[in-house]
Amino acid sequence: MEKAIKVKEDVDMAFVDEVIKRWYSDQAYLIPIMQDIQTKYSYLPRAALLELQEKLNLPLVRVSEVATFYRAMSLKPKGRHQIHVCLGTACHLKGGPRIVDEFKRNLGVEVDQTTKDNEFTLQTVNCVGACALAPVVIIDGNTMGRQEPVKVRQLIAKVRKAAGIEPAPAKAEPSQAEPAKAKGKKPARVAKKAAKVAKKVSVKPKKRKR
Amino acid sequence: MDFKAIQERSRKEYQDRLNSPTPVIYVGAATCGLAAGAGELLKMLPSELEALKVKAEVVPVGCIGPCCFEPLVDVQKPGKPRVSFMQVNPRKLKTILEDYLVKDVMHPELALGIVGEGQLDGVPPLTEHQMFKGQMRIALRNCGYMDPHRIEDYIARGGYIALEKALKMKPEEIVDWVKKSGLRGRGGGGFGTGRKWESVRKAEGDIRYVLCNGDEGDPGAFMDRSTMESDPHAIIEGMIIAAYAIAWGKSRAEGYMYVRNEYPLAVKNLVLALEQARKMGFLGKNIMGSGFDFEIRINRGGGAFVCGESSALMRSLEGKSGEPRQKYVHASDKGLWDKPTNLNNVETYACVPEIVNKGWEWFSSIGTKGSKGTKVFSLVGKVSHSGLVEVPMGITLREMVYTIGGGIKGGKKFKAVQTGGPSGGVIPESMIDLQVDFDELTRVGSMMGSGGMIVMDEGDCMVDVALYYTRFLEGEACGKCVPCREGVRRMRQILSRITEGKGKMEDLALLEELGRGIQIGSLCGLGQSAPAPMLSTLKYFRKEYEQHILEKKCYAGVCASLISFMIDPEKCDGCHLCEVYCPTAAARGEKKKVHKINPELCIKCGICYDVCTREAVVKK
Repeated sequence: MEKAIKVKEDVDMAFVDEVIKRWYSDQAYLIPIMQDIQTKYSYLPRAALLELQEKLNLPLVRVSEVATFYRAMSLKPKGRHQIHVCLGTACHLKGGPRIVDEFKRNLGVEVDQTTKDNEFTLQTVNCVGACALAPVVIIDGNTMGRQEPVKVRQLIAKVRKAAGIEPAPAKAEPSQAEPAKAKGKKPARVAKKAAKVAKKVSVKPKKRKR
Repeated sequence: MDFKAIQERSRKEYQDRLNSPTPVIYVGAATCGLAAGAGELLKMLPSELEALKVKAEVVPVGCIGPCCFEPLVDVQKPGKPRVSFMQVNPRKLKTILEDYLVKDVMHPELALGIVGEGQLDGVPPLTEHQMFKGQMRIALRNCGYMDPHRIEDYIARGGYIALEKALKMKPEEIVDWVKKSGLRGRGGGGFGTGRKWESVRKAEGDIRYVLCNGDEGDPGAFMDRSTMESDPHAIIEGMIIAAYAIAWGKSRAEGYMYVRNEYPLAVKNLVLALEQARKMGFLGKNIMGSGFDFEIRINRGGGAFVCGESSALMRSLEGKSGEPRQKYVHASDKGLWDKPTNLNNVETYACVPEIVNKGWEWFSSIGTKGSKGTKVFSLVGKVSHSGLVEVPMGITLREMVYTIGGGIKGGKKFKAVQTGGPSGGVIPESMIDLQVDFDELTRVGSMMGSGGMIVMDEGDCMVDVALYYTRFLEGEACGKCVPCREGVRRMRQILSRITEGKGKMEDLALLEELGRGIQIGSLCGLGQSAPAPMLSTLKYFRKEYEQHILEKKCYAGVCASLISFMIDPEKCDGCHLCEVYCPTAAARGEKKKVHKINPELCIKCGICYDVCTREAVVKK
């Protein structure tokens, strides 16, 4: 199990109250209120939920019911960069799950988890409606179509570069199928070679979809 | 300002743009365009134009439909027609600007066609394109032609005329027209829209709610997203007409649009459109001087598939978790806040103004006996031309796949079409001459759904498809009733077992029994239709299930547990690519010598298969 991380909640109560007032302090607008709070904090802080209970005169169970029912709400803080991999039908057929696997391997996290450096949160989404451009990856709200598993490393590197983040160790977590002895010198060698090959021959991976 | 003056001004503005003395560049900037890279083009256009010292207007438009050709950039030069260029990237954009815009040199291979009227040598009109020829556009009439951010564009193209006409008609007459037109709900159920309106009108209550269902949760479908992004006013106009027809003379009316959280651009465009409509006097108090008051609010969904179901959607609008309700309480009597409520889909509302404009006789002359008008489909998957198409009801699947869709990509063999999303089923190749309408699709065990049409080829495993939908539904079940919550989970477990090669032949009978139980026992439409993808694949592709169970083989090469990757020594030239990209160091070999994949290390990610340029990696 994941260890409960103690997050220092720095919640601006004035903001929460303002959002509640913006929606007429009405119970019926519980979902939009939560969405506005979530937009600011990328999750629903506990303190904010308690405030909602108080101000909207709702039992806490109702508040947490709504907060846990909808996929768009999260009770866990998210990383600075959010990666959504679309798993709509068209994306599924064109290799979306393999892209998720590749992200998992490269970031060393499972779906709905955040990397240790708090930079990336990996998530999946049911469908963003750009099916003709499947498979689709959305990073920080930018929808990118026609992705491939081999492009994943580049995508992460691009975000890291744009944000000025030090590249994390080549692979955060070896996949389970990899026996311990194989990981010794290999990753470094591969990374080096990959850079070399990429530089020398601009290899364009041939489009061959499964 | 009265409507005539607004109309005249809008038409003039629109015509001025069409006959503009400076060039106009239209960029398709709906989500699909942006996903293909239109955002980058929009960013670089001003500086590029400045470098070339050309003055031109840049207009971001909605989606015209052929998403496979995105990003689309249309260039309209003074005195010349609007030419659409396809798959534009920054390099191509420079060529187009330098050669066509400045020097007037046309590269016909870059052009898709001519939008609207006019002729140009070497470029055929877009309507002659294989993908557009068989289409007929009612709901999508304006998509891609107008700037969704300008109400004037919509008015110039004939918008809000229907509202003006409707407000002078008797409400009962409008309901009657819609009834006679044969318009059926485009969200999936296919219930008669006119009949629904009539029962809401007849219900007792001091307020009537008019809701628009924009919670397009079906994976693989994006008709509503595109309409909301590209032509928001068509939906708004349809809703106002509906509200008038349902409530005028009876009670107050209020409107809500429930839009998916995953569609931020649609929300943005709709909010803007509502504001503009309010300013013009089409919304709010005393609409167009008729005395009728109506207001529309937007609610963003919370990202739950079940909220596309009518009663769940209403619970969500009330600020609760989206759990469906028993069906014996009709929403037309007791819907939102237990008041009479009318809920229609985005596309249904978008059709309404055209019915009022052109009459019910016109609409009912299109389509088949039981299904009138047109239907928008999102034709995606393994077809060459994927995108949004609107066709008359009754078109055959063959026409959809081979004519409009341009056949299967890469010359592979066609296998099946999936319609109706997680509530629908697959239709095998043997039924390719099926006429697509509500009743025919239901007859063969699928359904119309909201209009997703996913084409599959020989590289798609039907057991995997069934597992995909079942897993999706397992995750999206609200958990209220047992047959759906528990049954779908068991179904998923059995299917997972089969794809892992651990299935037994008895599983197939168990699946069928389980499926029937879920169909009968579930509370809402979502649960009742949940077994459909599994049952239809089992019905038409039983052999594939048997291959997975008996031979432990997935011939489509999808189910990871049943395939292995190998390198063909005759084709491998030792280029090293597979070794470079292999995440687990399973593929190895010396330079210029035949490589090998170590099956013990291989995690079957398939990356070597993707990157190999000589097709030396084979799946078995």
